[in-house]
Amino acid sequence: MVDPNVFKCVNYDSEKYTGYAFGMGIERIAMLKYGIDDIRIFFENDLRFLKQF
Amino acid sequence: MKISLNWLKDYVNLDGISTEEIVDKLTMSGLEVEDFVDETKIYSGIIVGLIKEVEKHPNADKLTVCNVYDGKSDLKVICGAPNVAKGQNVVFAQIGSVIPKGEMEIKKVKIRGVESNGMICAEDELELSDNHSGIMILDDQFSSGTPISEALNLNDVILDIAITPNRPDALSHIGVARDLSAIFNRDLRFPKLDYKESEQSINELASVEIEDRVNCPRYSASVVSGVTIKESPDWLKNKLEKIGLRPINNVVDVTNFILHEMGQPLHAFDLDQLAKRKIVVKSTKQEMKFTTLDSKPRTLPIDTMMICDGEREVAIAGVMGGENSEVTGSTKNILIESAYFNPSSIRKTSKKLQLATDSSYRFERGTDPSNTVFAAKRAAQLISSIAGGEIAKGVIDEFPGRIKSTEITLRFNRLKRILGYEVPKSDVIKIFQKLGINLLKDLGEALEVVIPTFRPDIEREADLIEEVARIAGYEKIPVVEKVSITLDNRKDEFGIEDCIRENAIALGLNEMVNNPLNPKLNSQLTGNPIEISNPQSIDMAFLRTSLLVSALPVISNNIRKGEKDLSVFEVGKTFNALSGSIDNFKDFEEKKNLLFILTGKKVKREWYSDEKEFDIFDLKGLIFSFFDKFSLDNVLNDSYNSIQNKIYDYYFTINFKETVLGSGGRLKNNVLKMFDIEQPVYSFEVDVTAFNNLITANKSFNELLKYPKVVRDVAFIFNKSVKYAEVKEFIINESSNILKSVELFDLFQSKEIGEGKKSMAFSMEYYDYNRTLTDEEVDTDFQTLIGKITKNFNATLRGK
Repeated sequence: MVDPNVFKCVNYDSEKYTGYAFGMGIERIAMLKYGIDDIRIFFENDLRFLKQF
Repeated sequence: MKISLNWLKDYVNLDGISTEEIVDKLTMSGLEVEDFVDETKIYSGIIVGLIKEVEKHPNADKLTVCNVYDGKSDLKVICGAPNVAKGQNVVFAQIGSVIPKGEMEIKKVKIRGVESNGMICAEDELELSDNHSGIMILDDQFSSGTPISEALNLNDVILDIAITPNRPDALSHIGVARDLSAIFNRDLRFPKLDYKESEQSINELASVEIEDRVNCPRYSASVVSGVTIKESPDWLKNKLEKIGLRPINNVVDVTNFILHEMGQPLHAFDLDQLAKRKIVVKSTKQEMKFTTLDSKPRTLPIDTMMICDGEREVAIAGVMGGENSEVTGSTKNILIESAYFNPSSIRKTSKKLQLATDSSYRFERGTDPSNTVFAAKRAAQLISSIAGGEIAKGVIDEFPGRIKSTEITLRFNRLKRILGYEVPKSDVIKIFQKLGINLLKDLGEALEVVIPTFRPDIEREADLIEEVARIAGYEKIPVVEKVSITLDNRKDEFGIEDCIRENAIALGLNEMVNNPLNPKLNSQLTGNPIEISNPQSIDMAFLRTSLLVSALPVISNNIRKGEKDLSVFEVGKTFNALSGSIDNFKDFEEKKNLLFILTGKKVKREWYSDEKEFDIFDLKGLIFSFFDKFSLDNVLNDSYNSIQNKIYDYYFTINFKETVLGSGGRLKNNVLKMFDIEQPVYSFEVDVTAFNNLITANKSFNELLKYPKVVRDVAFIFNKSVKYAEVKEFIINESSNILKSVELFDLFQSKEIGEGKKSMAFSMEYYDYNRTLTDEEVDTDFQTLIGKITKNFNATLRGK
């Protein structure tokens, strides 16, 4: 649920509006799908990794 | 944080609830159980065994062959321990059991020709201690075959709970028990005080004075006189060991016990070591040296809150006590500190000293200011009951601060609106009561409640609603089968990025995603870097001023790992300061860029071809191929700048009319050296915003040519210094509008045409959209042009 303070910051009345926010890490899903065991490899830009995709 | 389930049961009845259910409900309500160890399970298959016979191993001096009785039969087992002997009751791991240390499965093995049917264990193999000097010898009272978990009382479940920073109240067994009492609707049993005080008032024995009243709002203390310091009783040692603490002595163990019982960190001082039997809380006025009770000398910065006696410093407030006043074997009289410190003050000290303790961890998250007196009294009671001694009358309670009590109104219609379902009022009241949230007034449609001081995280109605939701269970929130949401269109900004990616990948490039945070030295290479306020390390203190600076370390890394032939790209943001200090959005420029890098070989050596390295023309070719994908190659022009560039040799830009779309070239050797790269690297960086404006600008159709083209070729010998770009510009300016294009198709130098000369051959296209050109008019224009070129550039027409 969106915190009332967040609404306040953008001048929305939290008495009137409520909201949800959610998301998921795309890296985690890729890790599951391809069996990658270390999340850091996504950002190391090692060509041996990049070339596989 | 480790929590013992058996210990929890001292405060809440958990009968009839499985470990799995406790773990699941705790996690679902916000106290995430990351892991748990069920001792009865990890010791399964490990039993009490009796050694009936021992004999020397026939083929090994240090091994013994034992005859072990497991309650049913005799088994031959080989043992290497020096203390093994006939008649011992030992810990016996049967075939198929798993030893906790290293999770090793016990199998039937042959050791030097003799079969062994199990293993006799040492303490370290059961992970009970680090002791591996010999096997564990058990009491004679146990019969063979008794599970070891029963014999050694290993029947606890140890939970490892990750407590979020907003829940300091849950950093103790009572804290966790309180949530469990609310979840399972059972009563919380708080420990009771019951002890006799001596005649002597505590005020005659000690005094407390608070100078730093802001950072120390409350300081309570109790005194126990005439204690005997010794080892703690087994129940106490056992409780501490279960949660991974090392018992020290009965007094220190009690302070640790109470910290983990109710979350109040305590410190025990040797009262006789406190000058003038006095405690003064004040901050250091200058940097000073201080030795903590771990015997480490430390340098304390100015403004570190300290506990002092009548003369000197005796403890770093809230973090660690000093060696000069710690409880030792000869201590007789004890003062127990039970204080509330300002969380931010303790956090600062702990961070500055790089010293985090169980105490500082709790103080910096916020302990309960209302609980200091109770904790001091409970410590006094426990110490006198296990270490002897008399408890002085009363407690000291210096309390310059004030406890702010928070009162909140919860409206039931609001609760329903947020949660999406109705929670009965009686349930809400029950949840609040179990969590220690007291009902002030029942207003019918709303409840007015007062928040306990151990829950600083509950500040608003929304927080109360969250408490109801998490205890009642998030799974109670009704599932709505269908929700329709209108999503905004995807922003163009992202559209172009995808488009760029697709096309770059189609050209055979690999995509990189690099860290926008860089060391200063790198960032300042290509612009005015912006420093970030709270960097993790100096290597990540400045934003990148170009994609190039964050890519070069990665290129270097790849080369080091043997990937020397790279053609890569990245789309990302770059940041440049526009003024000395960044106060608003106008003080810096944030741009989206696209980087191409080529290095190494473009063609590897094969049986049908020689290897070939990337060069500047490959870079230019790549850029134009890329722009070609967006049908831009015909409208762009490239210009080689004679201006010296500090990053690039062969520096060139690609422009659309006056707008520069991007620039690049071959990186200079001194730049490459900074990154330990020893091979040529070609790079080009495109301004994506300018590029996007160009490709989304209104495009219109160009009529197809209906009339024939006339092509004329011509070659001249020029001085070597004359550039093609200059000649081309001259030709376009000087000829009539029937000349539509000029291309250089041949370029060479030779002895025959002379030193310092070069030959350039041009192909020129003439046409008109409205009519067929006549040979005469083309010739006239062509000949005039030849005359002008020879004159202007002092050139010679070739072939005549």
